[in-house]
Amino acid sequence: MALYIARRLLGVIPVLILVAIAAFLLIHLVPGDPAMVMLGSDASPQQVQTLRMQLGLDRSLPEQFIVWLRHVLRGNLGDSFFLGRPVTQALMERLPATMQLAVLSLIFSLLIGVPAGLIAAVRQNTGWDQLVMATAIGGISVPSFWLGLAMILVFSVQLGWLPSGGYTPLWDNVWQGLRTLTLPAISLGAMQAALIARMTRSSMLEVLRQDYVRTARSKGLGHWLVLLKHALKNAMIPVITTIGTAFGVLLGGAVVVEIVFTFPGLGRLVVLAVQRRDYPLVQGALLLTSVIYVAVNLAVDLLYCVCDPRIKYE
Amino acid sequence: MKRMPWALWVGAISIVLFLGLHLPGAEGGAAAPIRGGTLRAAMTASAPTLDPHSGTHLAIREVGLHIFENLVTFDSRFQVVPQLAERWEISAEGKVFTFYLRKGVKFHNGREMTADDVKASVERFLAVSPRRNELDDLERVEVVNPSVVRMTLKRVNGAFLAAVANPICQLAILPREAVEGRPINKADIIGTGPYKFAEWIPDRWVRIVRFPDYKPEGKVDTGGGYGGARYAYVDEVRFIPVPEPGARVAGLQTGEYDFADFLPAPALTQLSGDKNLVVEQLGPQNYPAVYFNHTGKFKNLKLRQAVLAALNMEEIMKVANDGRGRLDPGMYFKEQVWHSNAGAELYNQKNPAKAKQLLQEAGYKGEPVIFVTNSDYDYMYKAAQVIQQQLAGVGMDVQIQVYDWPGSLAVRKDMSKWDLFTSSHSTRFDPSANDFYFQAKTTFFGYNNPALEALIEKANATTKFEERYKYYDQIQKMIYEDVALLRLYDHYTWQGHSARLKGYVPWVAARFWNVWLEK
Amino acid sequence: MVQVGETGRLGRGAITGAPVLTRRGWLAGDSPIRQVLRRLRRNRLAVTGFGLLLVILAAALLAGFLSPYDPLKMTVTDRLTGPSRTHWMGTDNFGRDILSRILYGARLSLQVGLAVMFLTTAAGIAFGMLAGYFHRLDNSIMRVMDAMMAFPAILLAIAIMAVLGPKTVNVVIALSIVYAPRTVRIVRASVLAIKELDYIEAVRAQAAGHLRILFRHLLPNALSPLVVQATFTFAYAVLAEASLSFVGAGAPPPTPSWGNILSEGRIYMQAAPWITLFPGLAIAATVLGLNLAGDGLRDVLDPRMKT
Repeated sequence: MALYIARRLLGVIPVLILVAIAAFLLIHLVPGDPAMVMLGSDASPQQVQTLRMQLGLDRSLPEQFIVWLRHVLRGNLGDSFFLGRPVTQALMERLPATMQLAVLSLIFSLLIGVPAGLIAAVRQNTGWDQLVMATAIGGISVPSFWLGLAMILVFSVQLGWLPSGGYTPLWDNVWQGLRTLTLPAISLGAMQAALIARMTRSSMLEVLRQDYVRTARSKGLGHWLVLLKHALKNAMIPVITTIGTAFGVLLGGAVVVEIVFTFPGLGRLVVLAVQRRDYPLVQGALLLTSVIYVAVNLAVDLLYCVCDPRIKYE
Repeated sequence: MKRMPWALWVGAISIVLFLGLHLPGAEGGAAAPIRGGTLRAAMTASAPTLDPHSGTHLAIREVGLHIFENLVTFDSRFQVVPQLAERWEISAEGKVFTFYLRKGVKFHNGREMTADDVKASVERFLAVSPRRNELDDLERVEVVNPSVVRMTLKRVNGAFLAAVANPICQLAILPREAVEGRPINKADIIGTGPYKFAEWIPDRWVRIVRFPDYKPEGKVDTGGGYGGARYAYVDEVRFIPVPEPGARVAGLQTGEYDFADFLPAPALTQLSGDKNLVVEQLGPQNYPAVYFNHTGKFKNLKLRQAVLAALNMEEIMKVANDGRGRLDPGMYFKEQVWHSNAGAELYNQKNPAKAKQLLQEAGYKGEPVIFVTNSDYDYMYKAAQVIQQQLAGVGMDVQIQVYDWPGSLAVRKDMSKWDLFTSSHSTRFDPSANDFYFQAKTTFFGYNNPALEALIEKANATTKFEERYKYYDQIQKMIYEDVALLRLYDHYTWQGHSARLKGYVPWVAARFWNVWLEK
Repeated sequence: MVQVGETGRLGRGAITGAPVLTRRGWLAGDSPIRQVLRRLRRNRLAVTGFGLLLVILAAALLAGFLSPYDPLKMTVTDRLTGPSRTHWMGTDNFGRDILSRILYGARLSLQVGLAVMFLTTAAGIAFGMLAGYFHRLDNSIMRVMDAMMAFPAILLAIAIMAVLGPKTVNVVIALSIVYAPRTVRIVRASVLAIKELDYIEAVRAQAAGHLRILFRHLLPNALSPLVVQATFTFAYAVLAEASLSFVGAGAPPPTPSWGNILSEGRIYMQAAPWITLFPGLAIAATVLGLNLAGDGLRDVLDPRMKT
């Protein structure tokens, strides 16, 4: 087991290096540079060149990459060109908001998806099952930003129940925080809820068919007790894997939802940084989100092994 | 005590009335200003920096003009008026400017402003500012005494004072320790204005708070402008970047914001009905323009004339801004003293037959025309599409390429990659601001017209308004006859604010002095 | 299942090999494809899904005939009118007919979706088989795939579009890069699953070349999950194209795409909601069809695969 963990951790390193290279290359290959953005469209070519030299952009790409990588390995992501502060600080300022949104979306999708899947499985082929599955498949098909726009129109503008954007941290004011997070979390979470519902249903169905479940039921234990103790734990395994990928999707899919709701999260920060060609910020943010994604997936994989001792790991 | 004679009573009462009528805000008429409150303003963009010398971006000065002041500035009619300099003198030959500074002006760090700070600020501006070439004729800056600064020019420059006053990338006066030796973007945010800098969380907000030691001078300019008496009644102003127009509108409606900048035209009808809101039309704030690449196929005058003939500006305006604007040929707006109608007969011809004829004469054989536009300014993007259709109607094959704004600027630099380019010109405070477009050394669309350059030289060699106006009038005529660039229409923009916000005057950019929030 | 009253031939089921009574006609026959089609036909989900897709495909192919107007033609005087007899889906900000734009937009969305689907499948087969079969390549290929999947999909797509430039073909390239890793994983997994089986060893012992083993023996095993994944990739591509256009990084104007109709209409959501309503419905319908079809295929091809 320990060997497995060690090997997995080692395997992560080349991935992160590749991510770093990709993050660096991508933003540097985009035409236009931060000097032009900073100086405005009317700047003279000499002014632009002077600024480029000040920012260190006149050196060759491999050189710039090595410089950046050396800083990163020492834990320094550099300074954002436009925000006048260290990248790490800028990202940390935004991270809580994105985390709250991602976690809330995940909670929402689990709260809706798991019970729905369970009901559908237990009442298989009845009206409930059809209803749940129909809603689920609808949920996967609707674009999240369209859902977001529609909800703003209905719940914010027409009914005025919930704000159309903005953000209040939960630790500042729980009630207001929840109000600002609700619509974005639902837009983001709807698709995940549908996927989780489907997955819960099918893995639950699989487990219910198993012999040991039937044995347990025949032993006369309470109906629901059987379900909860045995079936649920095993059915949750694929669901837990989904949480890992769901987290990744939420971090990424959050971008469009963040734009629709003007939510000050990492996604919008990166898009804005790309628009301004804020190289250190884009590189740092891409690196950070990738690291989080890799870490979450690693944790999920390990959890997976713990949950089901029947699984062999190579 | 003995009874006071009735004359004294009348005198005393008169004095009290006189003083009362001249208390701050009473000039406006109706209600008296209330001190206090936080003004939450939803703006369109996030400032890339707050260092006033470092960029021409609108968001920098939206905040900056509350914190910083210049030696001189513009009033509501675009004339130069005093700000930190209470008066100035221009020598007989026009080469020496002597500025007499106001006394007792405090910086936000408590120190009093002196001529040394002015010199340091000007020198730093010359070192880093993208606008420093406007001061190329400045030979030296001297401190005559702690409250007098003298600037000597190499030659007469009619636009020099306007360059000092220009609020775009303003020549702000900061304490010398805040600017000396500082590279671009790195000055300390310490000014002399009615508000001082409190906090900046990028992409979340910029907070400024009232500076208690600020002394307003002169009268309140009720028409707008950046000069005159500026009172900070609210305790704090929060500039919140909300790039989504729909989100600004929604936030205004729900009361999240007290002010929203640049409202999208489609939202206006529904907002005007709301009794809690006031919608202000911000005259023309800019005009969209299209540049020709004069080094490519548009070297051909007839081809440019064909484009000019084909365009229907009214249609463009209708689509790009829901028709809310004004058709006008002037390079400066009607509201500005510099407005001219020269070349009006060539503007908005909407003559497809003539265009087709000119295309033939130009020898156009159907080569694709690359039209670069951007996704960040939706009116430019929409105008480009309408223009493409109008030109397709006369037989020109126009292909649109959309980039984000910096991407489009990068493409613009490469003269082999584009033929047409959309942009816009925001309000120019002085016609000299447009000179660089037409001078071969500084133009970025390859324009080369010695006759026009000669006119610009003449305009800059005099400081008298009437003479400068005459030359710029001729310049405008030439711009149209030579089809140097295309000017589309006067683009109106709107701002909205809560009905609780009083005293707000829409003028060029959001100005939060002399305004207050009612309970 | 044999229905009472049905006449037909006795055939063999595809997976279990049990006797199955089949109908006569073009679906009769024993070949695996025919059997799959037969089972698909019985699966209600799949039928709905494919039916929906056929309708959309027909709309896209016949866009030229069905469109009442030229999708690019602007009639500025008619702008922002709601659904009416002359414009069934209303007009947009430029005065263009939305129904016509949606029909042509179907073309673009389907083209992008299909192209991405083929490219990712090809990449999946190529890299997945290499990774699964050649152990030495496995590590390097999968590390690269992991790195690609570590980036949030939409951010990666936006960045790639910014690098390549605003053209429809670049949307295809960007989305193929983003979605290829998933397909690679699936192919690799199926190759790994049967690589060690006895009969493969036997074939290898016969000195069969690698290519032969890969394509004749290993690939067919990967086909089922590949086909299912392909339909889902198509769906992701349609959604992703819409998202890219929404943030301004998609297919350039004035070519209509569902994504850019939605994006251009966003600012008019309160005044003219039909501009955003119809493309949203079109996207949802297409993705729904693809999901149903994918589910149906999965049920039919390998019920064990249900995840």
